[in-house]
Amino acid sequence: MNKRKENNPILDIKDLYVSYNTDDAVVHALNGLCLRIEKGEVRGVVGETGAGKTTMALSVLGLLPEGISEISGGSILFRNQELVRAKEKLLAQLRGKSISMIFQDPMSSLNPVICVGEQIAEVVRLHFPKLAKDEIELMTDEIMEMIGIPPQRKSEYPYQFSGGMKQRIVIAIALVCEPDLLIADEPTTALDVTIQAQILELMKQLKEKLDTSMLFITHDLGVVAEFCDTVSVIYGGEVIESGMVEQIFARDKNHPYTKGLFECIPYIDSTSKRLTPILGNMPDPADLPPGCSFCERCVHAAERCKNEKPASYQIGGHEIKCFLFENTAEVGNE
Amino acid sequence: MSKPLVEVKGLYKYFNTPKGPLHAVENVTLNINAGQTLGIVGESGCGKTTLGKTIMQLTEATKGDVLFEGKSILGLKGNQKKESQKNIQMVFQDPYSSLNPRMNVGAIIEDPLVVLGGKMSAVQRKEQVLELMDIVGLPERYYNSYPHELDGGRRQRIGIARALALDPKFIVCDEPVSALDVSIQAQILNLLMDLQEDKHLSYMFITHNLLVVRHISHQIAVMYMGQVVEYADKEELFANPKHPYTQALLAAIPMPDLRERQKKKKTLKGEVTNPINPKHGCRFALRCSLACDACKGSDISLIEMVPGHYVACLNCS
Repeated sequence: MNKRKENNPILDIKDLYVSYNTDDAVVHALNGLCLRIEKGEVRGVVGETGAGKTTMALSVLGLLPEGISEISGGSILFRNQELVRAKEKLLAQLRGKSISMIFQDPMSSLNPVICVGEQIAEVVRLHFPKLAKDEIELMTDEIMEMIGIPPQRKSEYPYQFSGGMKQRIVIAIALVCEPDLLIADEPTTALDVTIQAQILELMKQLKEKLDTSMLFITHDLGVVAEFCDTVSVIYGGEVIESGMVEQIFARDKNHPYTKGLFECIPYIDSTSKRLTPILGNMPDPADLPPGCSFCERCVHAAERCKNEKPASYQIGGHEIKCFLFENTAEVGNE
Repeated sequence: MSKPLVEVKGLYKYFNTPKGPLHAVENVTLNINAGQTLGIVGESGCGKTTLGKTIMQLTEATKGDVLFEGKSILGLKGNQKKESQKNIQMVFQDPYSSLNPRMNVGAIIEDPLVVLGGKMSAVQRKEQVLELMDIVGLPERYYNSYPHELDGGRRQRIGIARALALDPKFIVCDEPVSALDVSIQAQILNLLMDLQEDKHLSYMFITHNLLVVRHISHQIAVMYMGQVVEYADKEELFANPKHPYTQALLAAIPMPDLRERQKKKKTLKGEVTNPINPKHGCRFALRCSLACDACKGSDISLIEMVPGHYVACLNCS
């Protein structure tokens, strides 16, 4: 059995359903999503636009847009504490201190009219109101040192920094209170490759230093292979495959969607002239098929897939939601 | 060897800013052969898009020349300019902002025919639009749809159909797939490659994605701060990258392969410096591990190290 299973997960999302009620339709963004992260684990979450990656992150933080969104089922346990329908006061205490988030676009996630040092200090002041001014200052200096920006620059404004530097500052804000869980939503997508490599390297070092658990949302399988311990692949608002990186990237047993994702990437060492795209488009989350959400694009789809949702089949801790693996799965693990 | 279809010769583009001239494109010399693809790689702000736009004559070149089939196309006026533009078209990066939201799909694709198509009746034009839609894989039912009704992949197909409308010989593709999801990206790349084969098109393919450029290009030019630092056939470039910047760029690609995971990566220090009034010498010297005093002295030009492989570096061998 997987050794990790015996531990107490830091985050445990079970059967989460989230929908957005728009004027003309109910959009089912998450449909029974399950995901858990153990202490110190880095879990990559992979999926395409509209798969529900960001909705998942926002539900954990209680930041779903009010009025139109609804958590219609499931639970989110953070250190055994229920977050679904939790009081705003509790969530406000957790946000920034126990759970932090790095957003995709460093250009728009900083306040343009407040200097960066103050934006870092603000988080500390909010969560540790009793700290003296010079102590807060010391913490700010330390974290800036850690992310590789000289503390002398703390009185500068975001526009004076480049994209990569801004993302470092966003990371500093997220990590200054040493959270237990860091949610990173495409933290390097807006950056150039050489800067992306720098930021990933920095996050690796900080992770080792602070032992933070991470939920790393991305669409780039390359980044996952380099950075994550475990992977969950999301499609149509549910996790269709999850396992250790080694299991997923071994590429011998994969969900047809994951397999398709791999085949879409032009490889540096391959000489084949044509790529094998996944046919069609993502299903409309306002009108999901009753069976497997991938069945319309799947080359293996059978009649049964259209009407019946596949269970999650386990092969040594590697879970795949596809009938193809029904017979190879371990008994009694559904 | 036959003459290249497009020759870019010593092209410069400076933008005037209050702080001095911004060197967006500097002394770029490149050739694109008929039926082939030249990939332009580089990070944001290195002048890739400006280079494309200058060749398209969407902005005026500061110095230098662009030859199409041996004839200069810069500085043409009136009918001659229109005539030359028929042969050169562009596919833009963002399929969301490059299509007029108030025109339907049919009208968008028809537009180049109205402007430059010569004497064609409305019926002929519609026929041709439907044919183009078929070529790029857009079902006829979208003829009256508006761009906002379609997803990114389909919108990019509209952009490609529009670029094909005048039957050009050369298309500048400015990051045509970077706004798309991987599964859709693969569909568009296949489409572009099929079109190249069928119509013997030449592309200049601008991208920051090295895996994509490797897949689609025949030759590759690597740009850094407005200059081409390395230029070679793709196999040669990926097998023997010579310029330290190219090497760093290749090492920085996250590979979807666990064998790469164990390798300790050398990450590049620092960031791109200011392109306004840059100092003489190698632009990359500040971030380069091989840099010496000579690098900072005078400008460094491309040298042919191996036949067909050009590098702008004093210290690599």
